[in-house]
Amino acid sequence: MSYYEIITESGTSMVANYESDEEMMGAVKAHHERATKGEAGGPTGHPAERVVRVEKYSDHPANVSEGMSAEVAKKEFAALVDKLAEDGVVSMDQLAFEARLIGSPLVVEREDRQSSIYRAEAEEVFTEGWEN
Amino acid sequence: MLDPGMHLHHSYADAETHKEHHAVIAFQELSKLVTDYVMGASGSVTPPTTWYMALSTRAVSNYARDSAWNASATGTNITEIGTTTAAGYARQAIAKSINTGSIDWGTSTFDSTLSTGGQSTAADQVTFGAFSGAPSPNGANAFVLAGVSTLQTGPSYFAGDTAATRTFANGDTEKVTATLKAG
Repeated sequence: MSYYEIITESGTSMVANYESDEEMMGAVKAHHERATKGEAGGPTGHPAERVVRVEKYSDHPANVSEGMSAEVAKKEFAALVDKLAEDGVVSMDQLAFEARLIGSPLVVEREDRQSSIYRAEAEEVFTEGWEN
Repeated sequence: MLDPGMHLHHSYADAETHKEHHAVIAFQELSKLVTDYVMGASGSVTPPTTWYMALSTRAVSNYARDSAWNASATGTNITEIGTTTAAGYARQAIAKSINTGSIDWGTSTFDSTLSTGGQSTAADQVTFGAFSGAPSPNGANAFVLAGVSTLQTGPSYFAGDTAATRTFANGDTEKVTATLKAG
């Protein structure tokens, strides 16, 4: 089983769990086709969306270890202190808040509307295969 | 029409019933975060690294405040869809942050109404799918905010009924927007 982050034209990101790339393609193709025909996306009747990319992971991309290498942590926190310091003073509340964001498996800002919302690096990226 | 998701009134005081469209429940784990983590800075009772939205086959009317995930759809158990055959189903992550560029929580707002008011926040909409066929079990009757990505396990914080049973098939997606009111 692998996890796939499906990203649509409008920027929707959803994580799905499939046995294979073939299963993924079947599901994505079915949904994408509905979007091209203006059909509903699901039981609630919301519009289907065109898919633009799919990123593959061996585990749920949000399921990351809470640990971080000491070297990376040192650099991240040093940069954070520099960023937050005002007149040589750092707010500890602000530091604690920003520190939690460093450890979040989801990005703070997406590169663009159709980029992944996860910090994890995908094993493979698909950008075609579901169009007719 | 989209499912409105959950609108949960979580209160320690006796209050008239909030005007909800659907039944909702705050589980013990959410209450413990207030008593142990917020008030007592507990090192063991802490929020998860990431929130996860899950779908359950059982409606909120079956649950108790200490309900737990279990494959047996009996008693007060919370039973997740897709545990035998996923067909694409996976829990959807919601970051532990406010108004960042990914899926997280919005700026909270205040309702000063004495009996039913409180501080509310809404999560960004999450999307399940695309399903590759019928998951098993199928038929979602409630949304559950959980603390881990693994199906059928982990802490649960609150739940709310769907507007109707949602049965999924090939190509389907499902959108959920959760709101939480602490009052």
